[in-house]
Amino acid sequence: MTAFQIADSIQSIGFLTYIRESGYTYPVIMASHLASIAVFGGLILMTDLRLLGLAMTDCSVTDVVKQLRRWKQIGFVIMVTMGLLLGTSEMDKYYNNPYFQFKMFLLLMVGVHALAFHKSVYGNTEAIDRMPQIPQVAKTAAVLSLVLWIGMACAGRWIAYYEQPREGQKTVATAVANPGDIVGNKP
Amino acid sequence: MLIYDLQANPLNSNEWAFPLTECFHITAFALSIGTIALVDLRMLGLGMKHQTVRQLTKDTGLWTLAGLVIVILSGLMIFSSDPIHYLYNQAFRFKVTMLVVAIVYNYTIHRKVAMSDGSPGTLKLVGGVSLLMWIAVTFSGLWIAFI
Repeated sequence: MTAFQIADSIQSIGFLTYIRESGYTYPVIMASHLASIAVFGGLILMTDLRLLGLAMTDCSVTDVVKQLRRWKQIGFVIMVTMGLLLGTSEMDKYYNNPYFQFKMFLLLMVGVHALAFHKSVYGNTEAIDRMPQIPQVAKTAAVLSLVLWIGMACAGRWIAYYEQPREGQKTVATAVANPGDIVGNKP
Repeated sequence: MLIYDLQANPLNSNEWAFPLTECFHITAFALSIGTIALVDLRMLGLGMKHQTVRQLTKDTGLWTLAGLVIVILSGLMIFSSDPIHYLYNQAFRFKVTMLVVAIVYNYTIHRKVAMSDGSPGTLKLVGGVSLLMWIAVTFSGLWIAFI
């Protein structure tokens, strides 16, 4: 079984076919994906900016991290669910799109990031608040998080601009190389 | 007569310029709308309860403004890539109208209520309306590409 066949059988699942072929369901899912980036993505940015000591410094790190945690989790679930529906409904177009692959890699890295910094940063905010300065590890976590999430948004955008090389391309090139073939197309 | 050569616009002639501008647009609306949503969630009584609405409005104000400036600048750049196409697009018209209403609302009613720590009912109404308006802006923004 080739990767294409796997991708094709994924997107042939009933409701994914429905999403792809529907007039409104697909854009509604995509708009929900975007709206959740707007609402919840901003909460991620603010948490990172707080850890860097750049925003909301009137609030303790604990207040920002703990009070936003539930909402960021809810947002993450909506964002990822909508994104997966979009991706899997057109799997044959995306599976070999390098930007899609990179985006999935970044998503995986978000998981690694959460595991790696849970003990020292996100689950350790009371200790961070008692320190005279925000520790380097918290700032590192914040910068990496910013890079990962902004990278994710950008990769998402670039997915749409990637053109798959087609098998037929060679034939077109040969045709153009022989000007006689395209005389008929001259305006 | 003014003739605007679309191909002279770097957004149309440079392969990277358009998606890169969109990246700025997305990151900036996450910042502006996200910070407004943070205040709205507090107004709705759904989060950040250790802080007052007034304090959160003050703390996020500058970031909201910074986000709005970048989102509008990048939006104008995207608009410049094909003005006629956008002007005749119903989703675009709705989006711009909604955006202007939402910005005016944010800096008048929303701000006034947030800074005065009004009754829970008023806060909920004002915060809920704000959240819905900004979601409508992003929805119609995406819809531009589908009509």
